[in-house]
Amino acid sequence: MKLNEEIQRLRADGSSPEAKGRVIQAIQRKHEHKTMKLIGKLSIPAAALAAVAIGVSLTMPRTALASPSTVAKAIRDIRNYVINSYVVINGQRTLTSRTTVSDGKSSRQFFDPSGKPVAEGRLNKLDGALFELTVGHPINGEVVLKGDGGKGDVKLVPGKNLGGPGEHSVEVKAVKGPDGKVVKHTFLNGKEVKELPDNLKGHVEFKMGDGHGEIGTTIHEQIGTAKKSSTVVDGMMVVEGDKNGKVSMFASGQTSVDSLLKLLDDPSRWTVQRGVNFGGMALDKFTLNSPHSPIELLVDPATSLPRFLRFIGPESAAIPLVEDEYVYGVQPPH
Amino acid sequence: MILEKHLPLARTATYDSEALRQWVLAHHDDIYRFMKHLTRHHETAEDLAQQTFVNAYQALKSFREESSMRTWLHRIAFREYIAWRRKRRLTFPLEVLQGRTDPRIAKVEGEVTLLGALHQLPAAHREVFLLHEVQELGVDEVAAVTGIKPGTVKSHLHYARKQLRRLIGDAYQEATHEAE
Repeated sequence: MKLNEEIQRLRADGSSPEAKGRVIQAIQRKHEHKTMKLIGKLSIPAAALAAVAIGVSLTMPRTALASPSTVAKAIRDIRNYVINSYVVINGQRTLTSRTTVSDGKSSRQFFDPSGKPVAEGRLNKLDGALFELTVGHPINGEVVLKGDGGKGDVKLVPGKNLGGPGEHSVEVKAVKGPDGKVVKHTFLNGKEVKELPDNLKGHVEFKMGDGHGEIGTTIHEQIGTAKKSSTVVDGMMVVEGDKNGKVSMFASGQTSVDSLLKLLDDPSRWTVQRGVNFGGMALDKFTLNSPHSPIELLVDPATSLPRFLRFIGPESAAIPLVEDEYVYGVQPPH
Repeated sequence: MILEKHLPLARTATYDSEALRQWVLAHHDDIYRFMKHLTRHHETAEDLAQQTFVNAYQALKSFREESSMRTWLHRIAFREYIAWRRKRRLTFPLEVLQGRTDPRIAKVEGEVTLLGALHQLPAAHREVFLLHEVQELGVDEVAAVTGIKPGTVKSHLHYARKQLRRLIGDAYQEATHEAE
C-alpha cells in the first residue's frame, strides 16, 4: 500500500449534496425558532410588524427537533393509536396484524395472507414470550424454539453441549400464565435449576417456525463472553441484547412499548437523519446504532410521533422486511 | 474566501440564507470527512457534522477570528466527536464474534486499509494523524483543535507514523505532507 495514495483517497472523501441541504435546513429551523422566541417577547403590534417584516409565518410550528427524548415523550403522551404490521416482500406489503391501543390498553387482531381475520397470527407464534439469555461460554449445540401460540407457552431447547466438559441437555421453558405473566423454568439434564452454569451459556441457535409447522428461519446467535449487545433480526422477531447481555424479544406488531422507550432513553444508541423522503413524507429517520442498522424508526418531525418502525434483516440473510405503520386519530376498519 | 466574505452577514440580525448556504458548502465536506474517518460510520458522521454546523452557527458571534474559520469548525467538530465517543457504548456485531461478516461490511473493510490500520492506533495518535495528514492542518492548528501542545502533536505524529510502518509493513511510504 502506498501511503500517499491512501491519504489522497481519504482526502477526496466528501459529503453528499443532500447532507449539506439537511444541515442548511437544520440551521434554518434553529433560526426560525430563535426568531419566534424573539417575537414572543415583543409587544403585540411590534411582534406583528416583526413577523411581517421578517417574513416569518406565525403559524410555523417547529419548536424543537425530534430527538429520542421527544419521541419517548410523545409515545408516553399518546393514548390512542393503531399499529398496522406488514411483511414486505419485493415491495409488496401484506398485513399480518393490527394492534389497537385505546386509552393505553391494547388489543390485537391477526390476519391471514388473504386479509381474513384469524385467531392466531402466522408471525405471532411467540406472542408475549420473553426470553433471557445470559452470557458465558459457547454451547456448541442446537437450540430449537418451539412455540404453541394457542396455549401461550414456548420452549427454548438447546441440544448437547459438545464443547464443554461432558454433554448436557438444557431446556428453558417460558410459560405464560392466564394473567399474561411469563415464568421461566430452566432444566439441566432434566433437572430444574435456578440458573445455567457459566460454561453452558451464551451460544445458541434459534430455529423459527414458519407458522405451518416447518422451520422458516434459522438464527445463529452468540451473545458473547462479556457484557455486549447483539441484535438479530427475523421476519418474526428481533432480539435485542441490553447492556447486561439480557435479551428481550421484539416482534412484528407487538413491539413492547416499554422496550422501545428503554432504547429511546439512551440517545447514544440512535443516529438521526433529518428530512428523509419516505412515501412522499419528509420524516426524521432514527436508526438504532448497529453494524446492520436493523431497526429504523421514522418519526414525524412536527409531532415527534413514530410513523413507521422498520425491522430490516441483513442483506445476506434474505429475511423479509417487517414494517409497523403507526396511525393516529383514525379508527381502523373492522 | 467565501466564508470570510459572508461571515459578517451571518453575524448580523439580518438573516442571509445565501451566506449560510455558501458557508455550509465551503466547509461541510471537510468536517464530514473528518467525522467519517474518526467514526467510520457514515450516518454518525453526517449527524455529528450537522450538529457541528448548528453549534457553530449559534456561536458565530463568539468567533473572534483568532484562528481560521476552518480550524474553529474543526475544534467544534472535535468536541462533538469526543462527546459522542464518551457516550457511545462499544457494541460488537454477532457476525464479528462468530467470524462471519456481512459481505457489505467485508467489502468496505477490505478497501480502507489505511483507516483500518489507523483505527488500531491509540485514539490520540489517530486523531492527530487524521487532522494533520488528511485534513491538512498545520501542527499549531492541530494543537488548537485538540487542545494539546504543539510538541505533543509532533510526538503523536511520530508515534503514529512509526506504528503505521509496523502495521502496514514494507510498502509504507512517507506522506508528503510534513509536519511544520
